[in-house]
Amino acid sequence: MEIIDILFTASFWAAAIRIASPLIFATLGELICERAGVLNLGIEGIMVAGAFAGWMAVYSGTGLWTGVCVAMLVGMLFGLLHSTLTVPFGLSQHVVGLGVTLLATSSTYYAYRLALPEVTSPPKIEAFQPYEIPILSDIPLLGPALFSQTPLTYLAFVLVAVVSVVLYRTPLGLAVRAAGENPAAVAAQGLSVTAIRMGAVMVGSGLMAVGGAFLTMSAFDSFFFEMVNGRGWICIALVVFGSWRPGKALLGAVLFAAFDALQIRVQQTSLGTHIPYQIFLMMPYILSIFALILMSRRAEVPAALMVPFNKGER
Amino acid sequence: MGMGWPKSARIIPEAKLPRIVDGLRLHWGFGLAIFSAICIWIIQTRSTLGYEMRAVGLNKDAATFAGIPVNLVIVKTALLSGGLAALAGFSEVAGLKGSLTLDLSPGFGYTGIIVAMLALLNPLGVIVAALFVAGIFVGADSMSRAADVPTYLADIMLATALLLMVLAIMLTRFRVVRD
Repeated sequence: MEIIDILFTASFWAAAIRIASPLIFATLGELICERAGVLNLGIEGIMVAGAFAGWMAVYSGTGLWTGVCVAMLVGMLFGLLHSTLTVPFGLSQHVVGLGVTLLATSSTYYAYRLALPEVTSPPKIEAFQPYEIPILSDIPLLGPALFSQTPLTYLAFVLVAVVSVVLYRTPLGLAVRAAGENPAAVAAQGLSVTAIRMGAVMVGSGLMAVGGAFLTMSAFDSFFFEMVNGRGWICIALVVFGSWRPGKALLGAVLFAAFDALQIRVQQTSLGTHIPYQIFLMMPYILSIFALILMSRRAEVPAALMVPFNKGER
Repeated sequence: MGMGWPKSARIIPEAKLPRIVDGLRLHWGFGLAIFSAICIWIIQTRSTLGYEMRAVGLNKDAATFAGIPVNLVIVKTALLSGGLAALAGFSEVAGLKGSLTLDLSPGFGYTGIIVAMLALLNPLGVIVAALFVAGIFVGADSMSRAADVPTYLADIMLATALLLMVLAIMLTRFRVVRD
């Protein structure tokens, strides 16, 4: 079987990890928002904005890591907009999220057209190069797949651990989780639910933007329209798949990415000559719907997700 | 077929929606849309299903308590909404394009959400809101031709209008107090 052969090539797993990286950033970002009780549907637009901001910063002459920071800052700005409308004002999180997505996407495209009016193909930047971790990258199969990636991929994996530890092992994480489960209890402790939720949304949005920036600064080296291409929506599904836990979300992201990497390769085998390629394009999405149905039965939804909190209201 | 841009064969002439006025591209899909809006208004305000829909939307628990089959109403509503969305695609193919293309909908689905919010979720208001949004799109196109302004400005305006609209709805319902 050709498919089995594909599963045992290092390039397949390297591609899967690479495809998973932006999903990991953005899923972590969404997870933080939802753990604090705010559904952030601005994710798709914030990823577009981050992709452009990071790339533009590097294109205008800053360093790569400065570009990542710029992307994060832009994401946090949109997070500030989203959280101002949804947290203190308590507006519908669905509508505001889609509004932020539209605003972020269109203002990014607008800025791109203003900044580079005359170009037909977008200019390239010196993107992040793969960094082979000594010793570890020599492990067969695992080495080239896991330890010969770009620094941003390593950062994504480190962040999964950091977010887990902060969420489950620190007072801050406890406050964030409590804001999503029982905001009244948080208020009773003398903490500000508004501040916690707004902070969580801003940090989460920053991570989403870094996820977008991964696309322009690590996976590719320039900015295209439609390049985020629904990855944000996938991340929303991944949060549910991961049952609002960072580790499981990481697993989901890698699984989705593996299916995505697999479908491209299956297209080139003998199967691909008989079946229209759109069927293969559908595959990761169909499988994630099934996975979602299976996983979401046991999902532990934050109890106050999408419930606005008004201090003093009963 | 297939010259780089995937496109289906043209639909048979008998299946095309006729033009309302000769010489303009305005077709009876517009009439169908107005008719649908009126139908939905009647369903919403004058039928049992509409009453149940509004009850479920306002308060699920109260609706359950009143004996309304909440899940059934949600499924019925989703069926209705899916059917209406499909009609939009149908009228684009049968009225405007004449064949199925990949770029049939440049984000019309998301624009629909904005239109619904601008109309304050009133089916008849949707007609006005949709004309307003269409005006912005058409205006952005001519502005981009005349003044070289990127057309994405239209989306920025719509997004801003949407966010301000939800904010305005909230502010009309509450009074701001300092504590």
